Amino acid sequence: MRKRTLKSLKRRKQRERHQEISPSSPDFDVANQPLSINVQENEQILRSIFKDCSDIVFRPIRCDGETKLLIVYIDGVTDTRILDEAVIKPILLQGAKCTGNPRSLEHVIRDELIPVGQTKIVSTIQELVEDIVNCTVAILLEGEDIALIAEMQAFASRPVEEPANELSIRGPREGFTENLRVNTSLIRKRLRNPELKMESVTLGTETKTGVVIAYIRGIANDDLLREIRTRIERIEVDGILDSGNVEELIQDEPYSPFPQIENTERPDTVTAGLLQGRIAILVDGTPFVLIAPMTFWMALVAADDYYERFLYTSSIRIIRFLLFMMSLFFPSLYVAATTFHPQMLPTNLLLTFASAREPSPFPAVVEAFIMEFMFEALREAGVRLPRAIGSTVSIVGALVIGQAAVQAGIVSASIVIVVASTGIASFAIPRYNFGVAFRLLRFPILALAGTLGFYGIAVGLLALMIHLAALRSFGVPYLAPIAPFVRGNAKNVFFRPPIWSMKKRPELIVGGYSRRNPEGQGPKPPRGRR
Amino acid sequence: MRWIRLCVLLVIPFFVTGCWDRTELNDLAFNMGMGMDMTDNGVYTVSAQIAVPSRLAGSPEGGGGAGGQGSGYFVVTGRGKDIREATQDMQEKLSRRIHEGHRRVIFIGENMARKGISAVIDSNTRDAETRLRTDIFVVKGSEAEKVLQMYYPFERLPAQGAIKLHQVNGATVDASFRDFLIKALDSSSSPTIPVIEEYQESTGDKEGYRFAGRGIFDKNMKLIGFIDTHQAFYRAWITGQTNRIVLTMPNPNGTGQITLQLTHLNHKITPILKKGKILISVSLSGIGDIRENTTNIDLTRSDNLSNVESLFNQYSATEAHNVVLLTQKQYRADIFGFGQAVHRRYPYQWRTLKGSWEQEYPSVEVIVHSNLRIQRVGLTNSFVELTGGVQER
Repeated sequence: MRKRTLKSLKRRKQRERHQEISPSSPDFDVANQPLSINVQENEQILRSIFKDCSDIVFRPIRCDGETKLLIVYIDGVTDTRILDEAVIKPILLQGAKCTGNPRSLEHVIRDELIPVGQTKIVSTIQELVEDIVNCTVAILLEGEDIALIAEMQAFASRPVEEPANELSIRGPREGFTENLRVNTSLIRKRLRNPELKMESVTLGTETKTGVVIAYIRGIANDDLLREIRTRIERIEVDGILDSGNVEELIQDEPYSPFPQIENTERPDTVTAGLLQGRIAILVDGTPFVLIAPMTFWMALVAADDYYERFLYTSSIRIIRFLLFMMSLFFPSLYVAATTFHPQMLPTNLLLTFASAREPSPFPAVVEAFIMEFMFEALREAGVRLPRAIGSTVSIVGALVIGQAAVQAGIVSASIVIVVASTGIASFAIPRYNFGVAFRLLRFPILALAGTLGFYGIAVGLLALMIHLAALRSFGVPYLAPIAPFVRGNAKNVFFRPPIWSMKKRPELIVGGYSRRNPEGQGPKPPRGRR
Repeated sequence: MRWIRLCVLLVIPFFVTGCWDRTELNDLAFNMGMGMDMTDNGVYTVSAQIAVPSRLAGSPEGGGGAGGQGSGYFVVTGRGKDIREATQDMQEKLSRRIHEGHRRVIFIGENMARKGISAVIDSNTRDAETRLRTDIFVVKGSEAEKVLQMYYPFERLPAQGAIKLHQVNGATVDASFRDFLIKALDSSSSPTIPVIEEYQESTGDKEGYRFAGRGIFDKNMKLIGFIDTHQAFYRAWITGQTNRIVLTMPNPNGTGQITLQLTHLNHKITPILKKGKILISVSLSGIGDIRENTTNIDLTRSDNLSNVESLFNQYSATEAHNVVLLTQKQYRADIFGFGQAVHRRYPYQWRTLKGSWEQEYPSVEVIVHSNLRIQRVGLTNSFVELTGGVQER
């Protein structure tokens, strides 16, 4: 009991301290104060708030020897060209005329002088400070207890480029950028529909990161939307630097190796997800957009599956499925078959394995672990190293591990082949974080195979199946639509059915029957002799 | 905390117990072929061809050499009062545990086969490592150990040569051990085993082994005799165990031979029970191509072709009937499964026949019909003799 009270006391204290250091929190000494009529007074308050902030610019404009106007903005994020052209220049030119009537000054500035799209008026210090750190331009007027806010953001931002991690052979080449507005525009561009809603939330007590929840009203399930909203609103961390932070805070089962929220860099993938009734979460400052809920089978789908011809992509999907099984079980099967069940292998294959294993000093399991470890090391080194050195690593890795280790008799050639093909198989999974999950699971299964043989693999597989069957992503069973089986949705798992036969939205995501396309959409060219 | 403790407890047994059956490949001696002999005073001799993986292919320099330093196998033998004891004797000479999981062939010396092979069957069916797809051979006129020692140029492991030899010469799958077990357990039919024998090349001292028909066993699993390759083909045709046969028929009305290669083989055994007498009608059919014709019959003429067809029908029916007669009169052993056919057709009458089938079989009347069709005569130009020698084209 005492422990608990201590804990809660501590927490309260932390919260208090937290609020003290936050300049915009309601407890801040001057925060709730209304703006003063006197510009000088306001300037003093602002200067004390933005003390030691060298990037804040205070630009007073004098008229007849006294300060009439004060412009406050953050240097570098404001389009100074527009500021000069649209605000300062007109005021300076017109300023002399309107000295007599200060009341109209505000109207004149707002309605006549400033050709800027978004403007608004604030009246408290707190609001003013919030808007300034939100990278707008604040204009304070002498003799007014209000301030004018004009949006003139000009972030240094990357142009829209091809997504680096999700390449496709066919399909749009646009990818999200770090700018939230650009990202929402990329989705809006594809969904010109007033039903596409984008709800704004600000997350991170310190970072004030903009987050947008996007969905199509009428398609997305209301319960699902409500759940996502509540999960996002309860977030109370100091900073959100990437959508990964949000994902980690709102997912269902944080201890599962499987990702339960999809992330993508592709606006077309997001649009497709929205059309399925899923909900996208865009986070400012990252090109990775979250789509929830996610099911197991979505990991095996690449964007251009739906752009290429369906016969081709269906067969590719089967290959992908085999590859992902291989990425999980191949080394384990090799170890179990050679050390526990040599009679399972064809005679000649066994003899080839045996002759390769002959000089090896380690048991097959240890060999497999060493090679898997080295493979992961190579991969990690390749990811982190600068591009110029990256190729060196792969060459050295291939030579040292692939060839020299075998020739020196430290590991057998067969395990090199097994591990290398497993690695390739795991990279063939379209979702990178899903491939990582499988690479992670490979190790416990390998340990089971090395100690219990095929029995161990069966145990591992069973445990995995139990976990997957119990897993849910925002209430949707992870293995849906296969388990539980949903007629009409299940065909879009192992095969990619033609577009005209995908008539239903995923039932468990939409929460019931929802028709996508009308009947009879298959192409019907006129038959007969030409 | 409790969970972590539980997990550790669960994981520890995997590694600490010494009783997991993990065996590395380089701790196993792969027995690729086994030979079993018996000396006259009843001592079992078991020999095994053990693979030496380090000398097998995979390393480019391996694989060659005749039984000497460089070859990928060696032969060990063991002696004992029964087969297990002899195998144990063999194990005492090997640093790696003998693994029978890849033994695909068993050779049995004629001497032992004559004395009965029930010991072989018993020890092998009790062994969990024995694979069902094993070929079993009788070595005619010699000892199994000698065959294992022999060098066979085609295969990395000479013992595998026998399996392929058997397959090329009519067997569809390498399952003669399984077939033998099935036949041996069936009270009506007599089991047979394929036979190989040594041969000496007439030029030089090259020796090897060849396929040589089948050995017939009685109900006590003792070898009672052989049928040759030619007869073995007819047996396979009647029992439906082959899909390709080459018939060479001498021209009954003149000189020369005609050779017909048959595929699409079919067989039908129809027993007819009439007044307590059993008549067995065997009909054989097949579709074939003429592969060789050294007679003066012009096969491009359709009347000649149908004539030849009926000649082949007669010929094959007589030959097949001769094989049946041989088993009836000489060996008194039903190697065709006629008893089974009777059982299937007349299950109730079979109850009384069952006990006396061995005595009954030699007197059963068997009729063989043959219905062959020649599909292609295979002539690209006219026959040499008819046109008076080879013509310029």
